[in-house]
Amino acid sequence: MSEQKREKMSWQRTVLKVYPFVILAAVLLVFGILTGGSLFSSRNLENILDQSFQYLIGCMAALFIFAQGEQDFAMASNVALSAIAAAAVSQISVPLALVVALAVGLAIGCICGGMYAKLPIPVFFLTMCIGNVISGFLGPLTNYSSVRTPVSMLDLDNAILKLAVAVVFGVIIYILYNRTRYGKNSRAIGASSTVAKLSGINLSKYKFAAFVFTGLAAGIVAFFSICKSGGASKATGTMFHFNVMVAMALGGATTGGPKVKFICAIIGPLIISVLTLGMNLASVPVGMQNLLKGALFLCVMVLSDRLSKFDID
Amino acid sequence: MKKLLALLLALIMVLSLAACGQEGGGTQEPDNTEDPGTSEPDEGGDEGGDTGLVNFRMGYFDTGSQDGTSTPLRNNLVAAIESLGATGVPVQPAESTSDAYLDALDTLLSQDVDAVALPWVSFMYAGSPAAVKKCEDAGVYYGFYWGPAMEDLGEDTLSICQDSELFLGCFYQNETDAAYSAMETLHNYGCDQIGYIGLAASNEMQENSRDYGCQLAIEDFGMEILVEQRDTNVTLTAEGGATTVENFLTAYPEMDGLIIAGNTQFVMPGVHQAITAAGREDDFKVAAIDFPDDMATYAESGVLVYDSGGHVTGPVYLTILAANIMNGTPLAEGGQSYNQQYIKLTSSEEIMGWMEIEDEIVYNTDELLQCLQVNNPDFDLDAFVEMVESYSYSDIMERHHSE
Repeated sequence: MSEQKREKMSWQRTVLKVYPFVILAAVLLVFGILTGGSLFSSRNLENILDQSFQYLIGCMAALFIFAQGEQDFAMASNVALSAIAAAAVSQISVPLALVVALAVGLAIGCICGGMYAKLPIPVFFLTMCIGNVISGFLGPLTNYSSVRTPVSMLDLDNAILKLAVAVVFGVIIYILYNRTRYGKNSRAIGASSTVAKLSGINLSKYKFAAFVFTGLAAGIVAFFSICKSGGASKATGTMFHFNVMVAMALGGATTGGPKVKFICAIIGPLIISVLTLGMNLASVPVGMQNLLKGALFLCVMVLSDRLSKFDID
Repeated sequence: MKKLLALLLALIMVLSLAACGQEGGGTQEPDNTEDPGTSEPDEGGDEGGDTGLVNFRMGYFDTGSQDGTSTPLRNNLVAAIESLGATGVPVQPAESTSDAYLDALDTLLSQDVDAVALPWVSFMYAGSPAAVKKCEDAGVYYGFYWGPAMEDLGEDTLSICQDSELFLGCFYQNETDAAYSAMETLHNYGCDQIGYIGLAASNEMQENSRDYGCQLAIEDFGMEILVEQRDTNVTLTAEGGATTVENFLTAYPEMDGLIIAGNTQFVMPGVHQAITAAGREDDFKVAAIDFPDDMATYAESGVLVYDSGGHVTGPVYLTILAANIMNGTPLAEGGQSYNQQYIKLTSSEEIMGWMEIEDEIVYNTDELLQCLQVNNPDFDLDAFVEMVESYSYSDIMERHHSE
């Protein structure tokens, strides 16, 4: 490879690696100025954290699936079912509601993971079908009504608590993803499942476990969702999986696979939250907000598509 | 490289904080605002320019949707805010979920609004206690529109609202009556074999009440609903409306009427197209709830014979209540239910007439200024209730077109 070509590849790879940071910095800077600094008031920083929380958890948990080159389209339905189940038992006991949310989330995750590992069905169709089955079940399950929680649960919608949960969850995921064989092998599966299998990696085990994490995340998100809104309905978690995908893309994981970095799961949700909050605080016309979000997402997708071919180790 | 980027990011944040750091306050202050408002609503805001009225910050939700209900609601609210010397603070929820509306409410509250108009239907039963609690914790005046009467707010929400000094009230429509009147009008046009397009089956307030109204009419007039379409995958597009009507007419050629009890603005173009394509304009009538765009076209062809909508003034009334409080002349002690009527148009001719005034602001500046006790000492709670309950097509015609 010529020196000139190597240099060209170098700057293109650099752009590919730094664009999420640049977007976040630009969004912070632009809206920091446009809002006269109120974006950084303690209350709005709390809002950013609060509004990022569910996507931080969702994105961090989805890292392993993204690394394997797949996505979980059942997450939204899983959140809804877990939230409804938790809300239903919350009148008996709040700790029991947490246990139920995690148990249901994990159970759905295990079902998805088990079928993904054992059945030769593309995971896109598999999880979408499971999601639709759950969605169809939610209406009759709730008698087409909201399931409410005790008002006292609203006190658990606490930014410090969410921050603590996000940090603990993040540390665990970071270690698993970057410091263990599990993370390394997940990325190997994303690079080439055939090579990974020939290298002796038990594909079924890793595929199954990836969905266990998203199931766990769905349970956590569901619990904090009912703490925030005071109940659950079949609409709870709507578009959650889609927003996780968008956040991951903005964070630098547009295509998934072995190049997905842990930081993608942190930067992406922050970009979305800062952008949404910043535009409202800066009084960006409402019609323009969706346009700007869509344009940014499109630019990121085009940019990463054009440059991804240079991202070769 | 990573360290460099982290440092760069930290530097930008610190510089932004240092250069621009200030607590609260919005950014784009309109001309009639001298100060970014106050975080102490009970102490009022600032004198609002040459009107002599107290300037306060009125928060509201704006989905950006442009349809026969959202657009006039926004236009009327903005006009009222400006007329009453207030500053409007809009926020756009990221999605149509209860959680997203609560996030948007947090954003509003962080901008030091003094009062906020809450679309109850967007928070629903589950989210309304959280919304109310957030407003109470922030010390912000709040009230609901597009909601139920107070007694149907739900026990948790009601327990917070009924003793609160911050609660402005609940503006609700009689959904049962709207659906009943739609069915009655169809019956009066000789249509008794009915198709139904509506909201997804639910036991929540709005859908349940409309279904109940239909059921009452069926019993009273001997009508029959032959088939229903409630799938929101279908009823949120014009194409879905067209397909639905085509299927209805194929399966039930005897069908002579259709009630659209929700998502009217989305399905109506397709519904109309399918009816005219089938050549059934003369013997197939449609009654709808919520005003779609381009109603004149549907009425002119004789297809649309009833529509109830125009429920766009709830936030205006909340702004009036808030403005009176901010100017030191509260109209009521605590919140209560206010029955804000739908505008009911019960013939194609009435619909055509309404279309001539649909873009009008319901209450002009002079009328709104007379709703403040500081300007008009005779304007009390009774006068306010009378104003709310008299809202109708004929009320607007009398006030603005009496000559």
